Amino acid sequence: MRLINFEINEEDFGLDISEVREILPFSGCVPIPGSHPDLEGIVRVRNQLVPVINLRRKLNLPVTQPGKSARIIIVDTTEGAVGLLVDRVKNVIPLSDDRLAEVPNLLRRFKINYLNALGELDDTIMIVITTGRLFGDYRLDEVIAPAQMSIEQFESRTTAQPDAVAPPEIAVIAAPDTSWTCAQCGKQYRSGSALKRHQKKNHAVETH
Amino acid sequence: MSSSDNFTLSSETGKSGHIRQLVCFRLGNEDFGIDINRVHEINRMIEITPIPQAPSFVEGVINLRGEIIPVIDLTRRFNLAHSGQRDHDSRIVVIETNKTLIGFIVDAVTEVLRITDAIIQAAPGMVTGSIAQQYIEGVAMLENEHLLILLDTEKIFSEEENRSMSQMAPTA
Repeated sequence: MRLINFEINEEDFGLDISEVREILPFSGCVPIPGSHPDLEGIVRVRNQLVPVINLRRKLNLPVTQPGKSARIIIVDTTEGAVGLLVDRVKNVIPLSDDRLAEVPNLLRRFKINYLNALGELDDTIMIVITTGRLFGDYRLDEVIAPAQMSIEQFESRTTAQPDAVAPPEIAVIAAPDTSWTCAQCGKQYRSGSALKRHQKKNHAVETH
Repeated sequence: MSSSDNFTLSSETGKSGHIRQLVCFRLGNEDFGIDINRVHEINRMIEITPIPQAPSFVEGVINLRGEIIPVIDLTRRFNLAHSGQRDHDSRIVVIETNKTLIGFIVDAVTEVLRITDAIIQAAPGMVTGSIAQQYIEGVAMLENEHLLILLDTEKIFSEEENRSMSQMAPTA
């Protein structure tokens, strides 16, 4: 499993990279007065409007002003694309199954919905979430409903709101220091052997 | 140092009951004991990862040599007055209960005692204060007139108990 390792409130969180559509730097978003407190606002990603959920609020953590390292992780949900505002995105890390622990029984009783697993990092523990669980206790459609509007309506709300997208490329993901990129599909791996396995599996490339 | 230094009753009293070994620890101003057979290990404080939305008495999780276990703040669990301070005496006592490991934070581990069942009495309500009767196996009056509260760890962390606690406890 490859996980996006992000940080909220100085704690490590992880989200399966397959759930992530893209990651953007956060440079403010357009708030919607009177909406659910978790809804930070809307960002425009190319020609699409994406509602942004503030994960600090969603997880009942102390709310702070997003800093320079704040990112929006855009995920696909049953209600379409949704952005998750996090403090920073650290890297992408592969985590083998034996380093992913089930949620201890004692914690499972408390119905901590977002919590999917606990990952063992070298010196700390990563809280692994899934978007399905994160929004499982929630009428996400109702929360983001005020964000559903046309581009024209959106533009009338903001005179010179800068486009949230910095470069057109998808990945603002902090890549590991060294990476091996698949020539066929652009996926990145931390080791040459992992890339070879990937190519063999997905592109039928014979490696030696 | 032999363990007899900590004897509270001479071994001749063996006839009047089982000898039991207890790990004693302090929480706030109270002394507690739990059966040594329940204790998996005792650790110094290590980094605890807090879990958002868990009940306030759940301090978080720790990585114990590859096993991830929850850590409970017993003073919060029992609503004891607590300074909230952790110092170099603080310990994480890891117990095995219902076949899973759970850690709890204590202010200090004081000693390991051998007592006989005979000195264990039912706990009078006034002694145990705010700690609900059902978590307490009894109290032991030691020779030095110290009162030791014996905890029933199985009950503290039973599924039913925790469920009702989690309904009461505000989420952090």
